[in-house]
Amino acid sequence: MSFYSSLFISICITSIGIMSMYLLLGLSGIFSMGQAAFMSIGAYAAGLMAIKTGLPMIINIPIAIAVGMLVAGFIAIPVIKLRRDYVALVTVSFGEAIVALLNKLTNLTGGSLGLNGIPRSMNMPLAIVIVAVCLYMVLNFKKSKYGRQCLAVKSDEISAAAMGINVRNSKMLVFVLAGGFTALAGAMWAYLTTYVEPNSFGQKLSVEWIIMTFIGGSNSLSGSIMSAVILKILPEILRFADSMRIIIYSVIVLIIINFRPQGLLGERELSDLFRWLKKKVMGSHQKEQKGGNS
Amino acid sequence: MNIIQLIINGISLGSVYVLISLGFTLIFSVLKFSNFSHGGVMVVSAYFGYIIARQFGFGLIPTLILTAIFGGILSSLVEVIGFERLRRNNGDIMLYFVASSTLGTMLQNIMAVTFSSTYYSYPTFFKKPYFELFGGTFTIPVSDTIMLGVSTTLIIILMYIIYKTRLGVSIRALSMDSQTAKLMGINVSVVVFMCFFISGVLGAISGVFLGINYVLYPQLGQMVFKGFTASIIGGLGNISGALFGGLLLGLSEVLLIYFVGSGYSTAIIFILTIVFLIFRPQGITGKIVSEKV
Repeated sequence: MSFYSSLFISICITSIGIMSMYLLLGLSGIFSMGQAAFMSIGAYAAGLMAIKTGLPMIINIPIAIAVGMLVAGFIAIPVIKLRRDYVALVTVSFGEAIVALLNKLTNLTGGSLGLNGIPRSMNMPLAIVIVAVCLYMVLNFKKSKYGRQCLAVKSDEISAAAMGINVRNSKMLVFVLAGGFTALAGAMWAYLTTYVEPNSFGQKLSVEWIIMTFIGGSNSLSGSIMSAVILKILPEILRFADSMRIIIYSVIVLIIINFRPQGLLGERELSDLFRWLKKKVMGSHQKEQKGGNS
Repeated sequence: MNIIQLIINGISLGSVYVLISLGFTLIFSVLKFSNFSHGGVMVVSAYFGYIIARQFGFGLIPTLILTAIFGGILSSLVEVIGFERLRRNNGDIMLYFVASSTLGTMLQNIMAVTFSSTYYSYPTFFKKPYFELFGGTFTIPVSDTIMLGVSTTLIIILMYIIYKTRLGVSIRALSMDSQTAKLMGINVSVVVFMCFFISGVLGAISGVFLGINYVLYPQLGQMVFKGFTASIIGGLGNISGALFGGLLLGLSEVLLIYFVGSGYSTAIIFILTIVFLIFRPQGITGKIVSEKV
């Protein structure tokens, strides 16, 4: 597989991860700092299924998503009841615990050596289709009743509850959905690299995702996905050391938080740009017509 | 290995956790957010202590004092860079989270770049690393004893500051209601600044102890989550809660590592925390910061 196509697929994977972060951070204000753990769950579920049973990818990926959603459902039980600080803690220690367990359960997961020999079945067209479907789902979720409920919960839990929104249910829904998306990203990752090891899904990855979401603007889906794409391509061009890259991202985030707290795009979406352009073009067209008449 | 010896080890490990969790309990009670950058301050100070102990051959106590001052200054710097502007603009709580976790990651990665990811270990400060009690029935590491002693002293000093001094009164007033405190003529900026300084001092000392206990590596900052877990168990934003929680966590961790091994102990402690959160979210001491309309 060429360098460019694997870079492209890894961008797709990151975008799916960022969509889950957008669901959590942008739509409902759940501050999850251990989202990468769900990626490892998805990756291990898909990898184990592929190695132990030899089933094709088309069956394994849905199984991985289901496992991710199931685990997210369990974690959501404390998460939906708690204040934001506690949520951050629960998700962080969940991430740590998963990494420790994957390292420890050597019989099943191969410990720190990781799982080897997953077939490389991920290719570019499939990745594009998956991303498109995910994007469609997230966009529609945002527009749906549930998405609007989540936005209300994010801005003020108490008044949302007073308006008759079931706060816990909507948080639960978002958390489980995000878990499913991240597990999908993990399964794709397993089928791309053919190899999974526990330490690549540590807390560093979760923080990186938070950073990516915030640079573009956590309220804008297109903003966060665009910043994910750019931040994924830039280091490949500039060839930074890994730690240096994180430092540079952190500086960017600090500047953005201090001087433009809503992120680069704010609340704007790409579709707004199209609407604006259309208006512009139509408007000038109408003017021309008027000019012709007079 | 004796059960009493395990308990002693647990208490001294717990006392370090108490220091960590006090460091951000202080910030939490004033600004109402969890300061993840505390881990970064801890790591940078631990490296600083390592350098002055290695290069200049300082003893333990001078190293601790210098590192504490360094940590205090670093933490205040973090406040100025990360939170000063946010505080003035009444930023959303989410932004505090992002700023603090980014700052923590950044400090850790700066250490990773400068010192690369190799492991360093502190010089041995003591000629004889163990006490022997009762003719050798118990062997207690000297570093553990000193950790316990220093932490206890610091906790007493902190209690004195919080409950007896003018600064402490301002801190407590600010933790109740920042608007009213401001109207009563408390200089909020100065108090927040001092809080960050004190928490930096505590963080630096716990960083040095963690460096002595384990080895130095950039990811040592993850230890901040132990302090975080401790204050959750005890009750977030509550000083006596941090005390109970830290000791309980240290004890249970040492016992779990002895009986089931270090890999599973992380998972068991996670499950215990979850159970605790489901059934008693306000922690042992029972105060909870509830959201108001």
